[in-house]
Amino acid sequence: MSLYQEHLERTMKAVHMEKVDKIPMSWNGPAYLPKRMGLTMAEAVTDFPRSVTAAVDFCKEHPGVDSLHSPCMTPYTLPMLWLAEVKAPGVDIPEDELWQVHEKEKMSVEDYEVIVEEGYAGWMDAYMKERIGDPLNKPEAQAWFAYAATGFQRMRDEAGIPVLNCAYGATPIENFCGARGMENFFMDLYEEPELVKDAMDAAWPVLLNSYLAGLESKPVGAWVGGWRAAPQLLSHDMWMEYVWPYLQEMVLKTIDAGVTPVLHFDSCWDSELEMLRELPARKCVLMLDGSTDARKAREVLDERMCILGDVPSSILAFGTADETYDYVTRLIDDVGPKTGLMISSGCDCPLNAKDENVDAMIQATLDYQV
Amino acid sequence: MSEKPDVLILSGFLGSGKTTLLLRLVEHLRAKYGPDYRVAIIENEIGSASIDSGVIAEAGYSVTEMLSGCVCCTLIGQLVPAIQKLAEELAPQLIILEATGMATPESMRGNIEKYGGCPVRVAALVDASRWTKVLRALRTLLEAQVEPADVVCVNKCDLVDEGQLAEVERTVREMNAEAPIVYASALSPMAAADLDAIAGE
Repeated sequence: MSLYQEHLERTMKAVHMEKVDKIPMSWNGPAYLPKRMGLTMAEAVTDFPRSVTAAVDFCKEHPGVDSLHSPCMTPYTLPMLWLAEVKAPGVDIPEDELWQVHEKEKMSVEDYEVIVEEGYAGWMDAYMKERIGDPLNKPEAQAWFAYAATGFQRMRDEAGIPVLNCAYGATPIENFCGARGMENFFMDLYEEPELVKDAMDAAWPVLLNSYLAGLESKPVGAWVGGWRAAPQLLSHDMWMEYVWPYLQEMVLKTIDAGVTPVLHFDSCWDSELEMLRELPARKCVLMLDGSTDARKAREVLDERMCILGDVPSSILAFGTADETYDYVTRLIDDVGPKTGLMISSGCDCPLNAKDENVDAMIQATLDYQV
Repeated sequence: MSEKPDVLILSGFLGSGKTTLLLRLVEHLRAKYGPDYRVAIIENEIGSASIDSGVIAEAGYSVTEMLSGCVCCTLIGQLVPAIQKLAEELAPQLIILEATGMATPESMRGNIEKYGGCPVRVAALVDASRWTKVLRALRTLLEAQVEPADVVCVNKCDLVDEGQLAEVERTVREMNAEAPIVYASALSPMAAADLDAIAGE
């Protein structure tokens, strides 16, 4: 069995809730990793071959890593999900600072009407070009699109590491929230609920088809994001109307395509864990950032879903190696001592994580006796 | 006063009057402790910018804009270093952290206290004139702001009648039975005791 097959099999056994020989570790830190390997943030988001080389070297130096979320990234593709302006290191901000997303009001209430009447695709194209700096046509974004598949293949060939997130999608609430600004958007839900829903319905086929196109190459997994869609921010009724139908369809179509959905759910999802039981059993990965109670998630979801996470960024950045190691060990004890758990940072590993803490997080998965 | 700066986490929605409250608060503290009393403000720009940093900066206060590539995860990683940097460079007695759109104040408080070593106070600013409307749309988010608050400031009291104000107070009390409630309006200056309550003096 090749190293790649070994890593992939271990990862997929965890997804399918079959007993594993080691608790899988999935690396998610598109800023920390290149920084640790000597790249500036500006280099990391523009020199993709070097970024992938850094990821390959990092994985070789850390044999506890079983999969990786993405070997290289550019902030200029984030507006596809967020519809917000980005600031890139070396261009808009100093070259060694983390990229930024500016969620500010760039879309008006009237835009919902335009979307409903004229369609989402044309509106979004104009919005991107005219209001947020045409990020997708930046040379850096085009270069990333051209290189991403090569990067995934290099991870497989050179490091034996499967890339878990080869496609990216999110429900319409993320797009509109990013374009309107959070408070404006949530007030829209109250003041113009039907209009917002109509605009979401108009946008949805475009968003979904764009996402599904990324699954045609049959990647291992796909990133299904939820941050403003977190039930922490919405009542159950609103969540059921404005989030769940889209989320459910996206997940089901991902599974239909033979791809594992990685539900990258930021903030607290405790109140809707029960709804996740509606999703097909042992087909999805639920990635948590430390805000959702992973133990409660395991209890509610039982053996229906693999959990990924959730070492908090605060521990990685400010804690000690022992604290990190103990956190991981306790998490495995409680959430998946035999299977159904993959360890990673909660959300992205922070840029200022301590190296010794990162190493302890990975080492704990190697030391744990399954 | 402790060696580490006090941190005041201030939550409140767009248009609730945070800029005005901040200026009143800082002016009050400077009047009380003298012109050398230093305040630094960390502004969150993840959500809509709801503190007018230009106004604050023009008034002579240091404003640091916190920005993040991700709602939840990288922010905490940036927050404590930002506080530490401000403490080293400006040695302020008070750092005010604008919290709207971030992680819940409670989680921020825990991280700042544990890893930054700073005493933290949470103040929730409530806009009485829009409270009922915002509550219907955003109850869970408001609860996340009001529940952990050490003090709740109900602003724009002049724009509502007594019955509406009583309703605001009742629902605030449902979320937080303990915190003192202070009242503010554009028509009258805030009492020194109320500003002290917000600052935890």
